[in-house]
Amino acid sequence: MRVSQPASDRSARRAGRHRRHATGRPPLVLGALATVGAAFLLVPFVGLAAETPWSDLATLIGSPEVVDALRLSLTTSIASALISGLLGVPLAWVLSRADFRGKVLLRATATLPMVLPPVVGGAALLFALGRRGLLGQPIYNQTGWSLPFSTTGVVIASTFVAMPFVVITVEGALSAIDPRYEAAAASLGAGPFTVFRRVALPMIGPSLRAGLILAWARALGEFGATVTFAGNLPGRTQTMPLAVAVALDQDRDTAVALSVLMVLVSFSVLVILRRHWWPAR
Amino acid sequence: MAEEYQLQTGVEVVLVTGGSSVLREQILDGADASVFASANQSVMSELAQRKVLATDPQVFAVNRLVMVVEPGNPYRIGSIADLGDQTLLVGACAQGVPCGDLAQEVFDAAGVQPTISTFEPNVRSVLAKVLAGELDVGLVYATDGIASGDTIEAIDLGGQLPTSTQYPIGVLADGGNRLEATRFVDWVLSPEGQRILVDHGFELP
Repeated sequence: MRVSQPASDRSARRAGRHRRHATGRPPLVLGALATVGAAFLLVPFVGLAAETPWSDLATLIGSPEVVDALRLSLTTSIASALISGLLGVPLAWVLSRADFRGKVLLRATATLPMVLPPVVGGAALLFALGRRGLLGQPIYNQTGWSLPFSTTGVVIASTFVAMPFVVITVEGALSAIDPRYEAAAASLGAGPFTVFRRVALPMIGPSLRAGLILAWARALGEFGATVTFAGNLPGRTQTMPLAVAVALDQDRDTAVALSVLMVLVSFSVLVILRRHWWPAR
Repeated sequence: MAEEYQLQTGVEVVLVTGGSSVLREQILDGADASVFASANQSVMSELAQRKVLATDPQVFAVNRLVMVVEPGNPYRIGSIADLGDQTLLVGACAQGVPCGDLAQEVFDAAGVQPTISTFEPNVRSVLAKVLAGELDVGLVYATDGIASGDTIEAIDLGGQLPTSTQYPIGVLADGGNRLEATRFVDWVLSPEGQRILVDHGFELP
C-alpha cells in the first residue's frame, strides 16, 4: 500500500526549488562581513597550500603510514555513519513520536556529544567501556575482549560524536511531516512499523541523507575521543587526524601531505554529494 | 619553580607546557617565548641549528625512563625483558616525542621489541592510562612515577641501559626580556633552583 503525496504538495515543492530570490548587490554591511567570513575560512587553506611540498606529494602520500591512515579513516568513518543511522533513526523516531517521562533528558543526552569536548567524550567512553570500565570490566572478565586500542574502539569513539547529527536532523524531519499521512496509512490498515517504513522513512529521505553525510564528515575528522579511547597505533587505530598530529612532531612534510589529502578527500565528497546535505537546494 | 621564582623576584613567569616537539614547532612558527626547556637534547639542537637560540643551552636536570605499573605489580614485571610478552598492553610515547625516542633507544639497547598498544602524544596520557588500568605497563619518566606517589609503582630499568635523558634550557633569540630571561635561566642552574628539581625526583647534571 503506497501513499503518494497530493499533486498540490508536489508542485509547490518543485516551485520552491526553482524560486530565485532577488539577486543584486548585497547591502554594504552584509557584503563586508561576508567577505571577512569567507576570508577567515579560506586563508588557512591557502596557508596549507603554500606550505605543501607539491613535487614530493605523490611519494609522501604513497607511504605505508599514510595509506594505512587513509584506509582506517575511510572504513571507520563509513562504519560510524551507518551505525549512527541504524541507531539514530529509531532514537529520533522515539524522540519525535513517543511520549514518556524523561524525554527532555533523553533529548539533551542525545545532543550532548556535540557540545562536549571530544576528549571528555573519549574519557567517558574509557570509564564506561574500558577494561576497568563500568560495562567494560564485566565484559573483559567474561570474554577477554578489550575495546580500547582496537579498530572497533575507533568506530565506537567516532559513532559517539557523530550520532547526534543523525538524531537531530532526522528528528526535525519526522516532526515536520504532516501527521495526516501516517494517520491515513494507519486507517487503511497499516501496522506501525509499515507506516514507518513506507510512509515516514521515504518522506524524510533527504534529511536522513544529509544527517548521514554530516555524521560521516564528523566521524572522519574525529581526534580527541579516538586518541583518548582507542589510542594511537599505526594500522589499527591511527586514523588520519591522529597521523597528522603525530607527524607534526616528527616530519613537517608528512604532516602537510596528510593534511592536504584530508582536505582533498573531504572537499571532493562534500562537493559530489552537495545535493544531499546542503539545505534548500 | 615558576611560583618560587615569582615569589622571590616578583618577575612574572608564564609557563607554556606541552610535549617538547610540539613546543619546538610553536617556537619555529614564531611563538612569543623568552626561554625554552626541552626534555631532550635533539629537540634543542634542532632549534640551535635554526639559529633561534641566543646562547648555548645548558643542561639543568637529568631524568630517567622507568616502567610504571599498578600498585601490587599484578603482571609481575621485573625487567625490560618482561615486556617481550605479547599479551601485555604496553604504552609508550610516540616517536618524535622525547620519551618515545628514549623508550625506543632503551628497547634497541636491551634487544627487546615490545608490542606497543598505543603511542601516546605525551607522557602524561601514558601515565593516565596506566593509572586507569587500561594499560598494563607504561614507559614514563622517573619524575612522573614520583609525582604519582602511591597510586602507581615504578620499576627501575637498571644501570646497564641508556635510560637517562638530559634536559637543556636556553634563552631564545627573538623573545623579549633578554635580561630577565637570562636571570631566570641562571636561577634554574643555581643551587637553589637545582634543589627544587631534586626534591621532585630529577637528578643533577
